[in-house]
Amino acid sequence: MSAVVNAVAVVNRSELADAEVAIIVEAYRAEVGRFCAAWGLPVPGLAVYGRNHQQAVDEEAAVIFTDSTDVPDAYGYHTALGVAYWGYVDVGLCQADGEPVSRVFGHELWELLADAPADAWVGPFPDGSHVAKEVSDPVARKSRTREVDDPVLGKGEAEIADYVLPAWFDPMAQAGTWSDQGAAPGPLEDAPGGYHTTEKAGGVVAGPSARVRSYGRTMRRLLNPPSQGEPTAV
Amino acid sequence: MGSADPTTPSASSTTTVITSPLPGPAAPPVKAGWKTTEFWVTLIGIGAGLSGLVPAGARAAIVAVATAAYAVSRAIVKAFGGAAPPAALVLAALLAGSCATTTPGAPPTTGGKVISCAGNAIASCAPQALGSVNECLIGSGDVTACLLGLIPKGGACFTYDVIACLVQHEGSAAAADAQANPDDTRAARRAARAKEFLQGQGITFAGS
Repeated sequence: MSAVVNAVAVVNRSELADAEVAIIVEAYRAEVGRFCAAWGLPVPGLAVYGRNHQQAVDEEAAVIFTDSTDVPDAYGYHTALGVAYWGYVDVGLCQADGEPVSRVFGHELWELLADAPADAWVGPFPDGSHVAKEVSDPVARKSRTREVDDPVLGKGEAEIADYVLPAWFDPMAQAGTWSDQGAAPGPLEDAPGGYHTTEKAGGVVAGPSARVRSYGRTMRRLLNPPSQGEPTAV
Repeated sequence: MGSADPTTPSASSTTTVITSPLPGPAAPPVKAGWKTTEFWVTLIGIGAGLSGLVPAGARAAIVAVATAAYAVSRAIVKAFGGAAPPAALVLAALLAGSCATTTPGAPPTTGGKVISCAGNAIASCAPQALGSVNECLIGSGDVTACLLGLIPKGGACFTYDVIACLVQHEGSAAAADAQANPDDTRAARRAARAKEFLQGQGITFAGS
């Protein structure tokens, strides 16, 4: 199943100042076109909603900054319920561990855009396995700093999360750039601190660096059994 | 007017003093400053009663100008007591009132304003107001009423200039989003509502 996200609400429900969230979003506004071009996706609009936001979110997808999620060992995760797609950034856990909040935001944003229903597998590969279409996991620890100097929102900076490119999912690819910032060493190979999730004969294995125990996401993927479905090309 | 007017002696006064710096017959017993004060008060009433006849923006402008002129009239009356001020002074004062720039953060009284979005005052406040402004832009009600309604209840950072700059900022971003992705109908709507507000208020931006 594929889904297109045309608009993303970024909602602050954390102790972060709205100004910090606004700077992060402004930084990613300048990057989202590049990501979507790489993945052949329409460019979604990003709208910021502050801590005092009361109305229902109108966008079909949302990334929510919160102080603590219900997944205690995940900096962030994304999920879906029907046609509603959203992700969380656990600001409290990020700050406790020194993990840049903006990098986690980018991680979830990229993955939300690439696979909003969070149920896609890529494969099968020659050994019969499939790999979850999570574009940030293999390079989860890689980012670069982008400075923002906006006349209205002010100055600041954000960490732009790396993401793998479609070539990363092609084990036959001989040369190229496997991730936007070059951290991925090769097809289906993780950068230091990165991981990916593999399915083979009904079993699912995540890399040792995985912090995200998103059982819901794994369950959705298993409900969309890759071994029985159509081959998924990137 | 229903409220007490200190320039008008009460009907129960035992002594009525009408002063005039000009020699000649006593002035007729009408309230000093009638031609200016009552004229503008009448205009305010007419402006307020124009509902349905003229656009809300024009109606608000009429009321705002009349209100400002009324204030000038009253100031002149008070400055000169019951005497008629020189006509040239009245004219100059009214011209000055109509040409005066609005105070920072106040809605424009003439339906047009040049706003500069550069500077720390805007940058330090804008992020605080961003979410509320976006709510108005994505909402379905009267966008102008929603945005201007933020000023009295939003706090110190919710000034007219900050809101206008944010509307322009978010509207531009939304317009770019809508252009890049025609299926992003939310962005198109945000851009359209931002444009409606800025055009309705007659706002232009310095340097743009």
